[in-house]
Amino acid sequence: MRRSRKPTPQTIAVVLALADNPAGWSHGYSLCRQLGLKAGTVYPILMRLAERGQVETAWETDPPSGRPARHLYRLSGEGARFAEALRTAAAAEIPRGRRSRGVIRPALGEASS
Amino acid sequence: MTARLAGWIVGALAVALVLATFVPYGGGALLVFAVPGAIVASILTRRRPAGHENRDAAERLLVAAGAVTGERTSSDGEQVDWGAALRAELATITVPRERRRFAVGAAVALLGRPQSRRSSLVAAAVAVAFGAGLLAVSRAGLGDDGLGLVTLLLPPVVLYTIAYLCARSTRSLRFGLETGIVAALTILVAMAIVYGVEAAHWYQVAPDVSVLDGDYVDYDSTRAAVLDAAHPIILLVHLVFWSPWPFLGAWAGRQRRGSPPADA
Repeated sequence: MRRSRKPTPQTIAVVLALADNPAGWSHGYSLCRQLGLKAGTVYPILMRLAERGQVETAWETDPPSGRPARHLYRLSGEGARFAEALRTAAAAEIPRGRRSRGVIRPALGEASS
Repeated sequence: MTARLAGWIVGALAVALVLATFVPYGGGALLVFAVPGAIVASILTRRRPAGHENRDAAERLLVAAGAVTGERTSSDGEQVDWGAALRAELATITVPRERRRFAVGAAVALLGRPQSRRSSLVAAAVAVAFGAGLLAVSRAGLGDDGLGLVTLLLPPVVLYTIAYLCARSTRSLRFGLETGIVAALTILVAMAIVYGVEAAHWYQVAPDVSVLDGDYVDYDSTRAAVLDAAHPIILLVHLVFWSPWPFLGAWAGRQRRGSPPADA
């Protein structure tokens, strides 16, 4: 039986960044830049989320010539529910009036596909 | 097995056979190390594929980390080659400093999650089976050669096979290596225990027979018989003889057919 541990702020940030891009796929390096986190932090999180079925992975189908196909990530249905639970939990924990400065969140508006 | 590798092995065995006839002691060791030596030589002298000469340090680091790590299985059973994924991502980064930073972090991500629990379980099961088998062989009779021949020659086969199967089933050199090395250590522990127990047992049955080689030895106590059989030097010699095989098995298991979807 898998232990359910409280997710780290970095995991929350990655999940919410993926949740903010529900229709499209994200690249790992874009997530690193978007969140200001190192690859050594973001990729273990992506690996773990993929192993748990919360993140779907795919390879780019039509890469430009001269470089290999990139690996893409997006939340699965279970991952989307996890993100929603994280939002709800964060909203419940943060005192009224300070919600806009609460949990680590990805910078909005940055392209991630 | 490639023709080149086969050539190395045949050549090494021929050289070892010739040398063994001139060496009064240790000729057997030459033969034991001939095959691993040939495989290592074959790896070191192989030509690099075209296009791999221009790799920078960042890419080399990721290639090495990916080769050790292999694939991981996602929740739907799909094998994900994270090494290839990270190399593909690296290919989009052009600033050298940023490439180095990304490669270091990515290598940490690839190497940072050991699969030691599975390795330990497999190794423990193998060690228990080996120990039980060795005990059964000893109780059936020491014969003229004792148990030494079994403990020297059987574990290399077992270790190679385990490392090969583990590396092949997961396409992970690291998992094969981890399992093979842990299995070598646990088999050594099992062997030391069985040697101790059987030395004491056989001292009661035939006090002047060594469980190691079946020769006549004048032991003056059970303790002396046990210490002779499970002596640290004896264990070390075994470990030296066994040591190449987990590496070779893991390496051979990693050479599975089929390439990742996006090899850089």
